[in-house]
Amino acid sequence: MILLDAGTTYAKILNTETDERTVKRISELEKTFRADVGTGHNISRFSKRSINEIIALANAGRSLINENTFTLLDVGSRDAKFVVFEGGNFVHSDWNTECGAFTGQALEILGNYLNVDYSKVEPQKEFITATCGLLGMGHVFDMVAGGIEPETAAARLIKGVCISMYRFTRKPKKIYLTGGLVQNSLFIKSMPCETITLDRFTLLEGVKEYALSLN
Amino acid sequence: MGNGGNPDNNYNSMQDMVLTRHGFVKGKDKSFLKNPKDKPFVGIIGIPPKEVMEELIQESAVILSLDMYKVDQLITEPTENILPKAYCAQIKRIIANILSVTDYWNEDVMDSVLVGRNPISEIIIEDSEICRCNEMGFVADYIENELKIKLRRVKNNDIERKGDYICKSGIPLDEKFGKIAGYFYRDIERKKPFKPEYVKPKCAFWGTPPWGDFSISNYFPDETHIYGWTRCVENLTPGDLKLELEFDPDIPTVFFSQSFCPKAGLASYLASKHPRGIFIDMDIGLTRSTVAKLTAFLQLNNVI
Repeated sequence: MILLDAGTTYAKILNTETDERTVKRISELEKTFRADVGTGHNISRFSKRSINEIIALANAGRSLINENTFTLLDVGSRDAKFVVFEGGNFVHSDWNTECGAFTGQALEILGNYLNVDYSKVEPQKEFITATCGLLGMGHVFDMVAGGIEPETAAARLIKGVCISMYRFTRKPKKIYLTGGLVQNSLFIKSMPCETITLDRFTLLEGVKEYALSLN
Repeated sequence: MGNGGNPDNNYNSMQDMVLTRHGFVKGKDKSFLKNPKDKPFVGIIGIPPKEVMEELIQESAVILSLDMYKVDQLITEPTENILPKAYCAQIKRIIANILSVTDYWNEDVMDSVLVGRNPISEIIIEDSEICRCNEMGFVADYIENELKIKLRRVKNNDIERKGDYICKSGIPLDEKFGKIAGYFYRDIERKKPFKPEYVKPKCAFWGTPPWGDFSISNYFPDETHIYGWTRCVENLTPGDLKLELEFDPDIPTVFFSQSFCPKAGLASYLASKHPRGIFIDMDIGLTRSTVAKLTAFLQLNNVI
């Protein structure tokens, strides 16, 4: 089976027979490409069947995390979503969609524009309150214009995104992290609580569970 | 899933529906506007108190709820030069409704339109301290000064609770919203109240009616209880904050508000206090992400 997580910017593909895992830009997916089952913002364009992203995240958490009580947060390019389980039972979920979103995409655009290599930047204590990616970028440009180094300004935005994600998930002691932003080491280092990183194919574990239930 | 008997989740039973004191009228059916020149044509915003409504009935006024008058997704254009872009879509809708009232007038009254007068003779705005909307009071100056429409600010301090039979019944959620709005007029006209049977809830909806897109109701089961301001309306006590703050902690609850609405703060706060609550807001209309967030919440709570 071909499983697909079709995010806003990237497609994560899993071939369950060969266990081959691929990441492509959504714009590079052939128009005729069709997965068997999938999830994600762009899924209706590329898959025959689909599962809700939060359901996939919840399935993945139950399958991959060896604890009954956990918070699993997926930070992608367009949005962020999380699920909380306590004693093996679902208790909370949320999904920021419009306001508060586009942070991942904004950080990627900003890094390219300011020529910042995030892996070489130290986390900042000060932070920019990031209501959304677009407003966050505006603050960074203002700081740079005011004489602050681009690396520092961008790192403050990342710290702001981390604080925002921490509050969004209701301030847990520990967060399991997945999604495109886990590739950004500065993001991981800037989180204000303990984190455990899962890879960006995590949602596909939840899709796989759903796909198997169809047979 | 309760969808009002319609299998299409995109179906919007409120689309193009006009709420008058005669109930909902479909699209541009102008029957309720017969001989409008002979009667006062009064727009209302919010829920005016009973004595004001009775006065309008006595005057045989044509009453137009500007909250519901014309459900139209394309509401930004008429308000573009008046209101900020990031602003409550419901207030934009109300202003757009006032500006577009002329669409519903026939040739007999076109002369008033041609000379640039809005045919609404008076707008009554419920402007209580705590009620449906405090924000609208700030925009009311625009109505009075720029549109030259007589404006009356009234406060609704009605406190006698009439019950919440519709809110706690098993009829589809979109029908509940319609019947609650209709109930307001039934009471004014002294008709027998509609008291459907109680049903055990699977989940709850807290908030104002989702004016922007009633199709959100289609994702809820029929066994959805209503709380918040909509429940206050069925009780005919729209300013009853104590009642508005109530929720049932034992059932999964969606705390809904219009985006950019001051009530969003209350909805978000109550959602954080509810053991199984989620806050959902909606701007101009329902988005795929909002639907996904809502259905995941209902599914993970074994509601659907």
